[in-house]
Amino acid sequence: MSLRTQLLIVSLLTLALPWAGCQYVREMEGVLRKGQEDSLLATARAITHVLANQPEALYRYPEHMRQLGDTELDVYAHQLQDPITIDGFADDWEPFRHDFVALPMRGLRDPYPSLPEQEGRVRYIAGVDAEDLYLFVYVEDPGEVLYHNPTRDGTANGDHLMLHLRSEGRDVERYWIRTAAPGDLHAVRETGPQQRRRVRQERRIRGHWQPHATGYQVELRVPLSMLGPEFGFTIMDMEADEGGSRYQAAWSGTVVPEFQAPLGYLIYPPPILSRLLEPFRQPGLKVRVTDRSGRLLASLGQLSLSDWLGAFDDTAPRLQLHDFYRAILDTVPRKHLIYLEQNGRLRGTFIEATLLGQEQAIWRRQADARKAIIAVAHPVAGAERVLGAVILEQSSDAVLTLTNHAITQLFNTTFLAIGLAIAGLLGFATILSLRIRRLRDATERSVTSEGEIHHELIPVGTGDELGDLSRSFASLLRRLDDYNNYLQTLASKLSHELRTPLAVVSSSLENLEQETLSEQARICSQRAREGTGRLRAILTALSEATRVEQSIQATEPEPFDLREVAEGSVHSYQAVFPAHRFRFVAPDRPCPMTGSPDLIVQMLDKLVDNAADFCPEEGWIEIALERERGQYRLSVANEGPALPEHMQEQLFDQLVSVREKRGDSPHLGLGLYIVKLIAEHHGGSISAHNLPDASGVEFQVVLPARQTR
Amino acid sequence: MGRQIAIVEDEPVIGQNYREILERNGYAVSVYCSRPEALAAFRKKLPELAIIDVGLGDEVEGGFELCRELRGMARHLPIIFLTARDSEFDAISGLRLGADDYLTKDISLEHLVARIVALFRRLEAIREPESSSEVLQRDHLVLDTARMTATWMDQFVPLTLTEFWLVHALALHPGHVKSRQQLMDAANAVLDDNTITSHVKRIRKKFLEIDPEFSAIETSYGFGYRWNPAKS
Repeated sequence: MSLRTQLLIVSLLTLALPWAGCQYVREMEGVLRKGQEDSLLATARAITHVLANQPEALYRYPEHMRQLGDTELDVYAHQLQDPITIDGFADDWEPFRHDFVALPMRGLRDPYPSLPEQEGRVRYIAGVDAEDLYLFVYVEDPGEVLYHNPTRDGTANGDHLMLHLRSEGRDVERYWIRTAAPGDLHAVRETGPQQRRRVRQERRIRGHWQPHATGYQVELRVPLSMLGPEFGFTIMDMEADEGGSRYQAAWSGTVVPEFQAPLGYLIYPPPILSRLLEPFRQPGLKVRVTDRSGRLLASLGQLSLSDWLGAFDDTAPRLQLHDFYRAILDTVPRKHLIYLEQNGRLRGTFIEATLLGQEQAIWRRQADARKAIIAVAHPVAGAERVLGAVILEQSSDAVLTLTNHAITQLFNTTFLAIGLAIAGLLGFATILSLRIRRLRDATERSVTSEGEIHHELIPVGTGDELGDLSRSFASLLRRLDDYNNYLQTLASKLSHELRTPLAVVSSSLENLEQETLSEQARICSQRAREGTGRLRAILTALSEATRVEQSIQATEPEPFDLREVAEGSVHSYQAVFPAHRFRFVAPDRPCPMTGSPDLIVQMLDKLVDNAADFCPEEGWIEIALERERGQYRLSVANEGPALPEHMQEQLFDQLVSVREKRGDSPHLGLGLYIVKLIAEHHGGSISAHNLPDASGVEFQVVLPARQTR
Repeated sequence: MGRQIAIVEDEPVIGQNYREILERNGYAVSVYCSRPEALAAFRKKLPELAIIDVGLGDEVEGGFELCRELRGMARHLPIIFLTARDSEFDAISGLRLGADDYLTKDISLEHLVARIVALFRRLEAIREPESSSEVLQRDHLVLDTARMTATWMDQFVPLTLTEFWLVHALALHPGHVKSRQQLMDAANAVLDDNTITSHVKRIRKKFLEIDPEFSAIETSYGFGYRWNPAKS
């Protein structure tokens, strides 16, 4: 693992800082939310307190409030915001299209004695404005729509509606809605005693009858002044038999078509409720009040529209940063609405629990919305039971903490600081590892693969540990270089120092031979002379490398033909080494190069010398010259034992020899070193390897055709 | 009494050995151990030949210094460097200072004596111009084998004894390649191949100073050298 990676990992520890920050913010978030909950709950309590003291604001009629209540018979009228045109079409009711109440059609006689209770055959909706009640009824006729026939008997002998109205302490009044043809209509009522019954138009109740493909729809308007607490309606489907006489086939509605059938209550938000709630109006606060069965009685205020539109306003970059924080910090569950309004009722466990008397507070959030909504509900406690519920909703930023400018600023600053710290550490690590790598490269460059130190390491000037390291490397290399130089000159110094005592011995011996000696003494002296001769040869060989180095430095390069030089040399080798067979391979063109032909010859001599030493008698020695891409390859191969693998690199160093047998002439391993010196002087290189079939060894010198040095 | 030879040698044993062998050959020998001592003696009386070691006691190059002073005193006095130093550089320095020969201590005493004899012979030949000189002429080259002098295009070529013998050996049979060994034998020297190469180089240089067109000594790679008759 690189130093940079390690430091990067260490720098990750700084991420603990924002983590701790997040924890803190979440903690604070909880506190802030609790605070908002508490304040909303306090408002809710205040509202419930007001309502509990004035129950008539929820129930216009005390008997309704006291009733345990089968609410199936009740008709709920929505508070209308826009005027309704009595035209028989449902367009005006568009805002309430989900609030239509479905009723079954129940059969009375053939052909529908057992008409299944088909949901949705009849749908209705009711609404109130300041003065009137509006009713819209949609009817699917299971048979044929029959219109009222004025020529026949009966108040209504076609399909018709019946309204049942009862004011306090009075009898039920009934009004028929029937028509001879589609269009505007008025309700009719029966007056007079049983025997002299007359049908009179009631002009206060207006309506419009509109047929459609499978039935008809009727829109009605009834003044509130006509209405008492109880209200209901019946839809009667008439059919005709074969004889043409009409009969009641099926019915629907909230009132059973029987004598003395019970009526339900007409429920609509009492105007006093809105007045009571008005003081609690706040921007962004939505207040809703339901009765004990969950019917919405009042709705005040709106969740601010911009809160919802905010989700689509992505232009500000600041908001995007907020989005990032939100993603980290948000803990509000992403839920859809937990309650739905159906038929004017609020449903869901939230409402049901409240109506059972529990206080509720829930945070929720719609998917993709930036805003979270807190909903608080409080039951309105009556004398005996819960009378209703107050529901408050307020939207706020999903992460409340972010609404605080100072904390957002702190966040931004912290992230910036951490970013800078990591970037700084990374940069520092990069610089550090770069310096270390540079030092390593410089150290590697200053020592050749042969272990020679060929240029000095320039120490880095800085005063830190790395500078120290580079300086000590430099001094180390310098000392090593000194020692290397000492070793390299040791041989020639040694030979020089030994030459004088050798001269003493040899000159003394020569003098001795001038004297008259006994035969025995002469033999001894002869042996001593031979010994000094060998010693001298060793000393000459020892200093040879130095002398070659000196003569290399003294030579001036001249142009010559390498092929001619090699060819000339090869001819003489056969004479010198008669025991071996020489082969020479060369290109047929001249091989011009620049350098010292004498040195090249000397190099070739050494190589051939070496080859001949290892070549068995009658073995072959091949000298080959090849030209390829601006360089010459001069190789000397010989039959003989293979080189030991590990020695192939060291062969060309001083005083290295792989010879096993000890001949008469001393071998100090300088021959190949000289070859290397000469090859390198010409800008070339040398390598040794065994022949592929292991039959021998090949030494290869590569020389550039053009002198580069 | 034979000819007077001075040996300047800081190693007394070697000095004594040389003295013995030279005295046996009929020369009068005096041995000096240091430069001042030798110089003092030379001021009184010059020897007829001086054999000088390069390193003299503490003076690493005392021999060179002495040679310069001696050459100043006597222009034609034969001087031989006999030294343990075998580097090319030292040999060139010595010969530039006007020494007649530069020998390493590897040389056998017989060879040394042969050189001394040859030097005296040359000296005599110069002193007696009328004596029967044996002259070898090859085109522009004239070699006086008695005086051991060489001229090229009638100009004197200052060859040392070793160099003279090398040129003589080559010029004797023009066109014949002489191997390094043959040249070594001719020069009465124990030299390695490399030294022959540098000797030939020096000889060429000396001729080139007289005649920039000189190319009579030709290298035959792998064999040796030959006197090129065609180019002369």
